[in-house]
Amino acid sequence: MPLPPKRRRDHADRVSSRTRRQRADGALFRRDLRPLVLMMIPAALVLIIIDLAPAIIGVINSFRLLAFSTLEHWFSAPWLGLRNYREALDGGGGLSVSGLSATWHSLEYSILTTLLALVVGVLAALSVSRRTSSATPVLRALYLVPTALPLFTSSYLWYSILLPKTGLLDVFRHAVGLGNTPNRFLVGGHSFAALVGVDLWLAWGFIYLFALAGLQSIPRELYEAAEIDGATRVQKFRYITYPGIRKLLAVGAVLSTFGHYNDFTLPYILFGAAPPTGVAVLPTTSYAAAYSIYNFGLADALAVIGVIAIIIPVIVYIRYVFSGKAA
Amino acid sequence: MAGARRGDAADILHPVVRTIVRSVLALTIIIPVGYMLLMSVTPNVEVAAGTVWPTHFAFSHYVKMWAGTNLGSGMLNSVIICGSSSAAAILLGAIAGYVSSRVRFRGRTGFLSLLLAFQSIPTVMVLLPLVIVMAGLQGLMHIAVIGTYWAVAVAYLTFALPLVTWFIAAYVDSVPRELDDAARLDGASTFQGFIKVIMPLIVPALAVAGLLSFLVGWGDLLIATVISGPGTHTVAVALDSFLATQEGQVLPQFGTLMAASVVSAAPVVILYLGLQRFVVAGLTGASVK
Repeated sequence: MPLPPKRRRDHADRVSSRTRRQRADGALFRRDLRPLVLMMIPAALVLIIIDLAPAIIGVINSFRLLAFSTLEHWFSAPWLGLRNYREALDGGGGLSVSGLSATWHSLEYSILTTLLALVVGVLAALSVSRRTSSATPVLRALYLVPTALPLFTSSYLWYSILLPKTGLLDVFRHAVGLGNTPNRFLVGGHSFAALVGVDLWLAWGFIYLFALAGLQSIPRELYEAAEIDGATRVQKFRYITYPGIRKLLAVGAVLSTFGHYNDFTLPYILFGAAPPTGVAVLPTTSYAAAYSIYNFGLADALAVIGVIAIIIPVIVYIRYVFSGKAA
Repeated sequence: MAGARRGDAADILHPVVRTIVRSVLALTIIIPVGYMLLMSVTPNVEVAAGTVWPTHFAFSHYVKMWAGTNLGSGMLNSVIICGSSSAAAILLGAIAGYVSSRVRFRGRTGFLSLLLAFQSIPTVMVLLPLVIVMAGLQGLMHIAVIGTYWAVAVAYLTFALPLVTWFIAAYVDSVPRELDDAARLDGASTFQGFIKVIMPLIVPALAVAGLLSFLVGWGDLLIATVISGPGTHTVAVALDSFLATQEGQVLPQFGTLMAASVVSAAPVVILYLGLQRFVVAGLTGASVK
């Protein structure tokens, strides 16, 4: 070993004064923390400026009267106390639906979609986890197409499929004699089913990716041992596959739920600015509050209510999964 | 023989069930996507009338759309904006994720959960404060902010950066610390060790991170509608304004719209499929804990 320069000798001296084991769990040396912290500064500043600050401003604004006229001087906008929250909850202030109903529809739709996507995504991953025929690689790629399509593209596509009378669905129903009445997926009673169905179509590929990745991390030996023990398919899934992919699936499920919960594009393109009540979800409702009635404080109050409503169940869920009780 | 071939997750599904699952999923993908491709070459008159199989193929849509929409400039703008925001997310997120993984500071778990929790904040809520901050900068420094490329890119970074940081922190947790120490003992500085030793090891994670943050911007309509300006409209805005001009027309050009949608989707679909292996490897790596 060449003669180390001074800095390195310090380092080596300290290494010799500790055992390898201490190094492993004592992490880096105290002196090594400084460059790490320095490295972190730019990223931390960016996070603070573009994430933390806007979020805090948003919460502050939810207690203010922030209309188009007061926007210029937003920092001196009058305080309203909880009035925005009262209006958001009971649907006053020009909202077409109450915040409670919008929150409920959003929760219902995003959680339902994620649950269905978990089932489809895991089944899909199991169906291509090993190359069983020459179709496997083709399917692996095909399964990703709906998720890879940009949101606005797939939203237009389904809009044109579901369009009453002239869309593919009604043309097909007419052709095979399943009735002539225009469907009510975009305009009426079945809009909730349309939203969940279309979103499931675009979202299961995301869960599929997480499931496929989880499956790769399970050692084959476990399955071979289970085979020798005579385990059934269900038992193998229950005791080997599921525990092996559980945590990764949970992360996928949380990200996917947040994605549906905050998705503006799909409901907006399918149902427009004035959606049927059953699909008047939070993003479109608070968008309407902000950019069609220009009550930004009200929009922020709606958003804060929405964040609280989704974050509590997600925290409970994450704790449950990662505490190991669910295994 | 059966025993040897039955040792893996693929055998959880009975071969018959597997075939059914594969066929059903493939059909539900092929039919709508095929319909999209078909509509994109169906004459506009026939799309409006609800014709499923066109009398002749109107491949001219793929030529005409460049003139009828702002597709060309929209795609270029989207590439610039999404490319720079995902490059920034990868660079800053890799550093922040690495540091968050290595330094066991107090409140680390809380910090990481907070990054994830940022994904629960609706775009609408962050949008106005961002506009306020940008308008403030604009007034303060007398420079154009809103409507510029970097304003839109920064807006996407708002969502991409916390996600990327969190993801890379999870991935780096599975990279042994001994590697950091080995680099240090060989005389590399912390930063050099990070660039030369850690970065090459987390390429799959960087691929996932880059892909996810690229998609944030490419698919978005809301942020781009509010923050981008006439010269910086993204592909989503270009298509949306084209659609808006068609609504209520005697002959809406839905065929042309579909052709434009196909072309605008192509880059991300290709990117996704090309990075497929990396993405699975990246996610697998993040799960080993």
